[in-house]
Amino acid sequence: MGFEEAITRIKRQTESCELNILVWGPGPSGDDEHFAKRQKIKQEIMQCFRHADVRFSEEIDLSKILPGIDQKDLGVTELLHLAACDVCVVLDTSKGPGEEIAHYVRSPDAYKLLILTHERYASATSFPAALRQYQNQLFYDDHQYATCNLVEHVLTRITIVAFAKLNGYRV
Amino acid sequence: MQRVVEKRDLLKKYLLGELASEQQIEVEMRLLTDAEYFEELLLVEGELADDFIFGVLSDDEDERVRNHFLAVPERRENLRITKTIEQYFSESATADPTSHSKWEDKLREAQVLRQRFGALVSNNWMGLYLLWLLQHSPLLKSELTSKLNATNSVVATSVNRLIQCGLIEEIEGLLFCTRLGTESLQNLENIGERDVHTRK
Repeated sequence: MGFEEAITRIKRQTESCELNILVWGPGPSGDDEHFAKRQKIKQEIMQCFRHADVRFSEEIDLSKILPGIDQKDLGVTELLHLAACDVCVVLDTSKGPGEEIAHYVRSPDAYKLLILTHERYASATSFPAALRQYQNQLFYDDHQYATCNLVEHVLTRITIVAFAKLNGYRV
Repeated sequence: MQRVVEKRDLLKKYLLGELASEQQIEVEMRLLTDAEYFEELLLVEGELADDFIFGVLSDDEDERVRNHFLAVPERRENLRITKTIEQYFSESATADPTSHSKWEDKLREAQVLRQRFGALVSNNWMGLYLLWLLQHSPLLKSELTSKLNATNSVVATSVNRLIQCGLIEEIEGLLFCTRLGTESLQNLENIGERDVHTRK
């Protein structure tokens, strides 16, 4: 098998890797532009990774497989979502979502987070510095937000996670 | 307030099987007809499960939970879930945010691996291509550039990333695949074999 064929095969395997991906962020009741961006991120992931189960947190109902979980508070449920996923993309467009996820950032699954925060909140972030140091929190500007740059960043991260998973690593 | 405490105490005794049969029937009759009372029972049930998990019950109560309260399969299942969640939380909570903690170690390890795999997928998988080329024989950067038909800067970026991750090394201008690089490629070949077996 030649190089090209071998690399094509690995690319194909990576793109068809089974992944659970969460996309957290503003809901439809908030800013429409940000919700639209969240939907766009979800759609792009689904297009590129056809075997990925890509969900908004609010779309997951664990009560069928974990009877009684719906009686726990939302924080517990979302922590379980994080534990079950491979990547959790957080569109942190305002102060609100940041505060919501602040209590997950020291969980054993925090390494799965990809928090995308607007640069205007860079100095006000309440997240631990380690998240920035290890590239779990990245900052974007208006131009990156408006163009495909942000989505490409997400897709690159997922490609790396999928490729690592194929190799037997969780990153 | 006193009445609420008494009501809860009664329900707790009911759940632990401590009531006389007449009182037990009385409670059960009320549970069937009073929705608010039933809601209260669920709350007390949850508190009892939490107290059991955290080990704050007396020995007698602990034994009664095991023998009576958990005789109901649904409660056992709920308790199992609660226990799993509490364990998860306690692991997170025990991490001291001021020290070099476990979750930070995980962040760092994940980032090291992401950099390694990222170096291979970068520039449309050029990193992986380069590693493959270097697996069999060391090459100069210029030789890689001509083999890949790419610009110097693109190749240099990929090469630097591979060096930083320890997948290749440069000695006197020559680029070599390291042991880590060879192992990574072997791992990929195993994935290829798995794929072939799957298709068979």
